[in-house]
Amino acid sequence: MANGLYAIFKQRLLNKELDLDTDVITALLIDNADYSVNLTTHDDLADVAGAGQVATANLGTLTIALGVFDSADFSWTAVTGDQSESIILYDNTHASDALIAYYDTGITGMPVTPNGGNINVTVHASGWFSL
Amino acid sequence: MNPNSANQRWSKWIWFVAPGTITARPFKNVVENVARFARKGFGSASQMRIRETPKGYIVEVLSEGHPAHDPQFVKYMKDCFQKFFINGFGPDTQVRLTVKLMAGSRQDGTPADQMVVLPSLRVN
Repeated sequence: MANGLYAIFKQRLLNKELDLDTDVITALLIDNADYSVNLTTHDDLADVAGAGQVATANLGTLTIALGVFDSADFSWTAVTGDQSESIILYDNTHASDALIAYYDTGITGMPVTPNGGNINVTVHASGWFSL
Repeated sequence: MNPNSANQRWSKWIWFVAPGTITARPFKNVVENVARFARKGFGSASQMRIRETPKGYIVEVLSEGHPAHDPQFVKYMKDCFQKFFINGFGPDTQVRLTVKLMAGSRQDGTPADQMVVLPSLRVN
């Protein structure tokens, strides 16, 4: 699979259901042994099996500028669990935790095997995504 | 590159520099001079990004191999760069340094940190 935005996220965005720089946006570390992405049909966090959810962290300093969604770097702290291969971004404020984006390609340091320590994430200089 | 393999230690060094009022310099010169100095301090295997903001410059260096968990080393680097920035921008230049261990052992018995660097996603 490749990195991408969930199709229903785009629909929700156009429908004014999400506000990315004021909602709580969460980054989720994913074990792909327990989650197979479907960017077309998956829309809510309920589509991601609990066993596949390894760690969560809320993003800080959310910004939207010229179509670019960005945040500060962040950490998953004291992470334990299965080897993880991908990252999901979702809107934690939305009533059903709307899925936003999926990343499993071109990530330096992935797959990562949690060792009980922190996993520090550097967000790309060009942000999470641009529309 | 796997930054999480054994015996690697990655760190991020972030300077915020508010230039002094005496010596104004074009951004291009700042980039060239800071890049030259940082290459001496960190080596060419590092990544550097410089941003110009209304209040000053933000210099970020992601580097492998430096003991960012060692307060004495951090102080040494802080002093060197502070001197460099003050020489360049003038004596009333304000310099603030933040150092974060991104991947590797802190050598304090706690589990090693690991690092992930994300790509950006462009949707056309």
